[in-house]
Amino acid sequence: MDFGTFTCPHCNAINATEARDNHYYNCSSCNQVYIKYETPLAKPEKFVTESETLSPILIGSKGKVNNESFEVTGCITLFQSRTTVNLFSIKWNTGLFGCLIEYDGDYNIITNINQNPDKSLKNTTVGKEIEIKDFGLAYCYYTDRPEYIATKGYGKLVIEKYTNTIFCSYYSQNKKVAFSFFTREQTSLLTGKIYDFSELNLSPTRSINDWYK
Amino acid sequence: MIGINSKYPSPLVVPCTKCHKVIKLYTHQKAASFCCSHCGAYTLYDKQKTLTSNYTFSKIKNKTFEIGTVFKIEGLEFVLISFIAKEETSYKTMWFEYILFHPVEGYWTLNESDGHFTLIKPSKYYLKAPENIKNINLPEKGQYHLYSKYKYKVKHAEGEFFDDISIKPNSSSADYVNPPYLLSYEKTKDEIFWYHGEYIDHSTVKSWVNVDVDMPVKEGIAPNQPYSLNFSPDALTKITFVSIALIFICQFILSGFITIPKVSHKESFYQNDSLSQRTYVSAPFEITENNSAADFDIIGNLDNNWLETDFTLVNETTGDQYYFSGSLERYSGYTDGESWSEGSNEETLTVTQLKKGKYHFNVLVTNDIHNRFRILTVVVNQNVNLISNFIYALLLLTAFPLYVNYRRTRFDRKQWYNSNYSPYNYD
Repeated sequence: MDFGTFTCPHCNAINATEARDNHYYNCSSCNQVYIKYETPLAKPEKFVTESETLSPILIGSKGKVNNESFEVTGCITLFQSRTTVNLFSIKWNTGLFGCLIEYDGDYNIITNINQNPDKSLKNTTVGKEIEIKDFGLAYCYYTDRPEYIATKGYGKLVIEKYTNTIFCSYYSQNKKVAFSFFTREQTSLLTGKIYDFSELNLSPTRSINDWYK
Repeated sequence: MIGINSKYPSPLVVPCTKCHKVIKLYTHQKAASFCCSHCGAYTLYDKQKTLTSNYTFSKIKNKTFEIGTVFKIEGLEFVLISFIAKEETSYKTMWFEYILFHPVEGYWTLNESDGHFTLIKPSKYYLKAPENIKNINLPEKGQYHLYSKYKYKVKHAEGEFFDDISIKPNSSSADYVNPPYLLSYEKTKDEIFWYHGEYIDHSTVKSWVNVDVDMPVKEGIAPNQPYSLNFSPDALTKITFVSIALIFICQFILSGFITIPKVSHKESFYQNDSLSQRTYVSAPFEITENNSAADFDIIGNLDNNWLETDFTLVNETTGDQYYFSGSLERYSGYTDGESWSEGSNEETLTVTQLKKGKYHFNVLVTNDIHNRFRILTVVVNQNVNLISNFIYALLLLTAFPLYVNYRRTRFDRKQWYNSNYSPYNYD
């Protein structure tokens, strides 16, 4: 544990937090979200705190994949035109932060984040996917509507800006997955692996018995 | 746990914007639009997440399942959240999609077409440019063949949707089949969704729901409907070859080690008269094995002559009689500078199901009254192998795969009849 303190810029409450260099944090006093932007061009987006993730994953759930254990520390929920995506921050037993992306029954653990991978990628035309060796495009769309974003818990942001972004997903053989995010400021390429929910070995999980009642 | 309630939220309840009846949204904010089951009013969340309604779907069909029906599939409880009737734009054929939702698995689809059901799940299969691909191989499933390419429009809908279904889809789709499996894609200019399906029979579908449903009547053969005699061509070929090999081995063992033929009797009969018929009676002989077969070799010494034999084999112990007959003819000559011959001086007559005991035979010999046959020799070999049984077994073994193949071909021809990519010619 690496506890430190964090003073909420909204209510000045002092919070004890495990990780001092979080990129987002929900104040336990006023429940407002604190976002640390790394680039000056990034603009604040419409963040809310009360919203449903509709995910079976809980903040505080512990999981294990490939003999590596992790804990879910936070969640950013993107309410997009086509779907709702949950970006769970996970903390590995090594102390490093990672990301678990969940949407519509897909569970992807990101193993590599590459920002501005090369100049050609940065200059890719809006609306076009990129060529990734051995990957094929699954879907690609432009998030042009003023969606809102919910945060819970704390963690590292995978990317800083979500609206006005071109979001593409790519599949490959052997359950590999890739995502690309294009903004006017930067490009991110995320690669990882697809898991079945049971393969995450999460515990506890949200009770979904009689979920439809 | 912080931030997320440990209990899953109950369905969101909203009023229909037109008839004000209650609508349950099981997928909460995932729902981009919904259509009232009562009045057909279609409501869309606009960019500000407020509701707009300017479209009404007309009813065209009684649904097999009602919105909200719980399906227990593979131990998981899915809820039917929407129903969409789609029409293919060229041939105007229609099919129905029942969209199921589960919090862990996401969206699955139960597709109903001509009374046939296919359960469809999202697939992680990828192919960059599938437009010109006619065959796809999935290592764990096998070869999929292109069955159809099509565009569609939505004719009717009820329930909640993750997209605006009132927009005319500008997508192209294709189905690849490998019964009972189906691989499909839906492609727009900047996305492609792949789906994998499996044919489901009516009894399985009924077992998933806890309510009585009237299942639709099946019409024709579905593109991914499996053939009922579910032998793969490879398996059938293997089974046939293994069976034939076993028959050959059995025949070899029986003929080489178990049944050893031996001569029971040999006797010659001479013609001492000028009649056209006379009867000879053989000396007695023994048949030493029960349920055995015996060959009666009749041997003549004919030259441009013929004779006919009618045997009566008599079991002297039981009185049982066996009747059989045979003939010999042998002709030869010299015509147009070439010698020729036809017929034979030997024939074998086989008698089966003989019981152990003492036997003799009476043989009535008929011949040309003007041409004597001089001598006729009969050799009795007992305990012979019946090659006929072996041939019958071989015929049966080859008849089965031929029958299956015939039925399979008929089935496949019907199954591919509606496809523009059929491997069969229907002229």
